[in-house]
Amino acid sequence: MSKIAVLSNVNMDAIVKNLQRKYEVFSPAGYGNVVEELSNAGSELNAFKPDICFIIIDASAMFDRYDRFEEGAGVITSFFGILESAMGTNTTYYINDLDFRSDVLKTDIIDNIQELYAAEWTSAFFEFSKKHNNVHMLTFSSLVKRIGSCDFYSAKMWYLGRIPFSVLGRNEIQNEIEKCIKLHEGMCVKKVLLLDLDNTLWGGICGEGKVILSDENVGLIYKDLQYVIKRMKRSGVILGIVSKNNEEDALDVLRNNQHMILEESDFAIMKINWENKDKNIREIADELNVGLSSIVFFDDSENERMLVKTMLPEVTVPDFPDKTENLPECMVNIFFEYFDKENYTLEDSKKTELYRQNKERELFKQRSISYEDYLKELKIKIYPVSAKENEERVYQLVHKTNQFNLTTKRYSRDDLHEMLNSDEYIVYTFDIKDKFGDNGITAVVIVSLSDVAEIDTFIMSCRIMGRKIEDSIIAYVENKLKINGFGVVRASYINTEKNKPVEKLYDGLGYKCIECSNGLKRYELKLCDVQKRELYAEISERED
Amino acid sequence: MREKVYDIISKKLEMDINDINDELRIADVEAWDSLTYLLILEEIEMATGKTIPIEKAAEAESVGQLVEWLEEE
Repeated sequence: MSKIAVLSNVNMDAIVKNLQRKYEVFSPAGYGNVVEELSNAGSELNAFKPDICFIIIDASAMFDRYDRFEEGAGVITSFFGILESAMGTNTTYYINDLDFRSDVLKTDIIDNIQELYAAEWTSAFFEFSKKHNNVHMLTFSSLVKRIGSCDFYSAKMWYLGRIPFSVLGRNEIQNEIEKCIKLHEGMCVKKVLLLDLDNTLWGGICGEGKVILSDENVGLIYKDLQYVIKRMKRSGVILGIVSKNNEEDALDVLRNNQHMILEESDFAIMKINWENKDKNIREIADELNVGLSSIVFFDDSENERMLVKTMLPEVTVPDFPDKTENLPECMVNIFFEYFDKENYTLEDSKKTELYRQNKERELFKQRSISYEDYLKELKIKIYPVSAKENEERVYQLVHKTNQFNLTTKRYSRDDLHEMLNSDEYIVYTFDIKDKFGDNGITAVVIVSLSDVAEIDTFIMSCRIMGRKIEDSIIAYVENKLKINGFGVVRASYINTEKNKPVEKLYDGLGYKCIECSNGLKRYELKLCDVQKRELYAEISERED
Repeated sequence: MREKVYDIISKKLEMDINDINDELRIADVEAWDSLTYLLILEEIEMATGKTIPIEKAAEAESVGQLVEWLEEE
């Protein structure tokens, strides 16, 4: 079974949780760490070695902060640059096209900035996927289109949990991801499409002299359906007919009806007779030398569909649409569901052309930068803020942080209030910013003070994990303690179901493990021999 | 309303419905993390056809509050 990774700049946990019921799925602790995870050779992602890596970018979260197109375009360039230098050849990548949740205000400087980003992204993607045949597009915007932006997204989920999608949207994304997995595993590739004739390829019953196929209303529906099927044939789908009819009546329509788009020669095989359809289909499988499991059977009659489903369970029998006007779209969906191949998006040169016309653009610049350079470029700033003034937020972090939480002590409001006003504790609270914006108050360190200083609690919100911010925070705390006359700092890690990502944090920071038992690890560090660490975030004491 | 809410919560948290009551505090249930809270909120709103204003939703502490706010709508 394929190993799946899901990276995103927004919260995908709900989708990942569902996927994990069926697949082995890795998703980095915290979100927004797309490039961090990709470029950090030591990251869990790279250790996981996924077969398929899904990269889902929420366009609004990524670009809405920029006023100038050039700024956002730079992000696109560096995204593909980092991907290029970090990607594994044994991993297949699915990257979405961009969809913006809502319109930005148009200004007189540039009035279609979102379209420009979407076009820039898509053209950069196609340039990239031309060079790498393990890169494919997950056509996100068409998922949104299918159910409509209003139903696809949820502002409430976004503001409450950084989940931009409604439950409907999440289902769409999950289905698409699963479809891509199946595509990748070659599981859903069918070979043969078998079609009924009356009320399927055309309206009416040809034996009764009534064939609805024209350039008007209902007749046009069937004609459009035939266009879709014709295209499917061109893409390599083998067509066949299984129809209860007098053969000469049916052939007459096939050969002589001026509105027929499909021709007799488009069909590899025809069974037009009064035999049971399961028998005909079995013969077709033999004659074409294909397995029953590579056959899709499309028929308007529920009885026939039931018969085939029952007698030949290996054959795929999709539902027939209730409304005739949905026939062409239904066939498009059948194509995507059963006949699509992983490599189509790659060769879809028409699409490339279309996007190319959108604007003149710079040539895609290759820029490979290291993880360390990336961290430097982020220009992370850490602002210590008053814990007392932010008591509610501290409480929230204490109670809701699971992953980056070294000891997972859930202090009550009263306890916390007491600690904030006690001389025996110092509660450090940090507001984290980087060049992309403000992450808000996202880190808390509680130190208990007696003869030695002990880090009682160390918490960071998952949204800022993976950027080595913790190193700078710890350095700051150690420094403060040293100034206050402490020579030794102790710390501990208490194992829970969810805090595995920080299991080795103190080891990595040079702390000495002095006790290790039953999921508890205690550490000590002499403040006089703190090893030199490479820090990427700057601490900035704000003057209030 | 209350039964519906209890039912959804017990299913999502895989808890016995008899252990759910108005006094139950979100912070006291280990499995009730922020993601689960949002999924519960979403499902409750869909099942009841009512919405809890985001100001309140962001501050929820107990099951009873959720029920009370839904009843207010």
